[in-house]
Amino acid sequence: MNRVRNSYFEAVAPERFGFVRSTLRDVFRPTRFPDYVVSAAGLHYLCSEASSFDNTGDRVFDPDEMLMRLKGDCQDQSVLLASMYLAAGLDVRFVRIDRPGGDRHVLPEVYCPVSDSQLTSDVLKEFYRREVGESIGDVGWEGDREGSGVWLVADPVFSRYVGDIRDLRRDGYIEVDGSGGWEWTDLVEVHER
Amino acid sequence: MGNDYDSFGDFFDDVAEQYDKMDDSGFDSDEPPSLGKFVSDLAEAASRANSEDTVEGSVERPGRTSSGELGGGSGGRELPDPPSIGDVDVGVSRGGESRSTGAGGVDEWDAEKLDAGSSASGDRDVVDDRPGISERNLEAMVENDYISRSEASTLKKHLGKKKHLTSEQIQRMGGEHGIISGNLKNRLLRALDGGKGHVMEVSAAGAGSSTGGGGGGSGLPFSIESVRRRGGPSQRDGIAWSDVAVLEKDGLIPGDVADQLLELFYSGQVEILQRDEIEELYNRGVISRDVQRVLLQNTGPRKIGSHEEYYGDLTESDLIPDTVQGSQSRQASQGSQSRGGGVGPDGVDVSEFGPEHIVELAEKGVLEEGEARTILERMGVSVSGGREQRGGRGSESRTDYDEGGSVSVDEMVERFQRELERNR
Repeated sequence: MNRVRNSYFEAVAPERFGFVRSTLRDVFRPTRFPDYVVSAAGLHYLCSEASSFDNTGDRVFDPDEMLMRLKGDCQDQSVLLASMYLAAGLDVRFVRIDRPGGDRHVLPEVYCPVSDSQLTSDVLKEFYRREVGESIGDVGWEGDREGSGVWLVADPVFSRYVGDIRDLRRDGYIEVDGSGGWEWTDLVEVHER
Repeated sequence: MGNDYDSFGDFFDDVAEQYDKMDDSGFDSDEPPSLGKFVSDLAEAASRANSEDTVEGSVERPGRTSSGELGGGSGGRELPDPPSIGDVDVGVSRGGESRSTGAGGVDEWDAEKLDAGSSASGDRDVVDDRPGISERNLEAMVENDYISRSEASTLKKHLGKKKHLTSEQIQRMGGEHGIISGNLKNRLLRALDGGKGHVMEVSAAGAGSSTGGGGGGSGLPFSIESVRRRGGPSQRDGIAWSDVAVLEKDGLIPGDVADQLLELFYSGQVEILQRDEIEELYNRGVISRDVQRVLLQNTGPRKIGSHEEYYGDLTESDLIPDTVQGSQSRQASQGSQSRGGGVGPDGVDVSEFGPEHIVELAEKGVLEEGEARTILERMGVSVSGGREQRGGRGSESRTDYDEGGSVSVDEMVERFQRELERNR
């Protein structure tokens, strides 16, 4: 059990997931896609599909414990996915949303060091289509402060693929402005390293 | 080309196999579990959780972790001091409250039990004792676009004698049996757990029944009033129950006819009214010629009705088709965001209305964001190029690449790789 006081980064444990990168590369050895795409999409898929939602209350499970348990709430699943992302060499951050009435949510975002969000979207789309046989929709992103890359929404609970913001939008966590932009409805804070 | 996986199942199998190889080659018990372990533990953990009403520790696998803490039980897991962010999921209590409001219409949701569950966050015994998801709830979820019609159909087949799905059943369906995807399982469990918005939507229909006057008496799980409050046509092919309510609201069909049609939906006689069924209703004398005409006019994925008030003189023939045809090609030399090539919905004369209409359609949710951007680009309006990426937010629609097109997938991937290397 982790004590998370200031940041979810106190709960992540990438050192426990050193096997991630080589295993993913083995699995997708024939692929033409870069490691970044394999890791971002593959790890999100594993967390999203293999783990179940279970309200664990205040506690935050250690990510390796979560790996064994395979049940957890948004923060348990987010910490697990973030740990694996970090182990794979990807940067992550956590977004906390607190909606009026007590409805709260946390999700990780994975950083893509490519500023062309359309290109990133297209590559992800092709990866899902060709490597895992899935057709994906729009890819949601947040630009970084320097304009050198984007943060991709990678919610293990709501996103069906990396960049999927549809269910977050349906649930009111996101509002779109009709011109391609969107906003968190009630953003509390973003935890970055 | 990529690998030979036909499905995620194949992918999982391969991951597990990779893990086995690693295990055979010297993974000792102190090593961390691999992704294969992650996957193989799914069925085992779900199975154990379903066969034992125990809390944490039931999925303990001695020797598989270096910490050895898994079997400690819940007592040792409590935080002496609640962490500052540890209450992220405490929103369960809100779910309980909302269900209390909606309980009159959707009787399967036991608000009292759910409230009890919410107050005992983390107590699996309470969680397992919760009522499940009924057929009515599934219908409401479909109408809220929380699950698809096909997903609901799959779930309905497994409702069982008790006519509702428990969290245990959902776990098994998504785990060992593979009947539903893991993601759907996640969403359902989260909805069942409450407090995350989904159940609010489900129960909102129930609230409509109890507060909508005649709704409660009719036994419908929803009412025209509730639909009015939630608003919006379904945007499905055919006529959904929510479309009926909107048409009635707009005065396009009489209230008594709307009630008749809603009864058809609620009784399970129809899920979506298609053209043939509308014709049959007319032939049987259930609806008049005028109502038939109105319904037929609204069987497309883009409805008129309430949309008229949004879009003024737009007629049915102006409505945007769902599919966007044509391929997009990317001119790599132009750098980010700019695109060339023929793009746009086939057969839509966009000269009839301006960009502001498109933006408005997108804002109203009539058009997907990607569709709107595609149309705007065809109209010569810069969308992506004009967007501030630094610190901004956006979403990108799909681009169809042809292997023989001006930019191949290989070139796209190579360019992406170059960008990655340049920025790292």
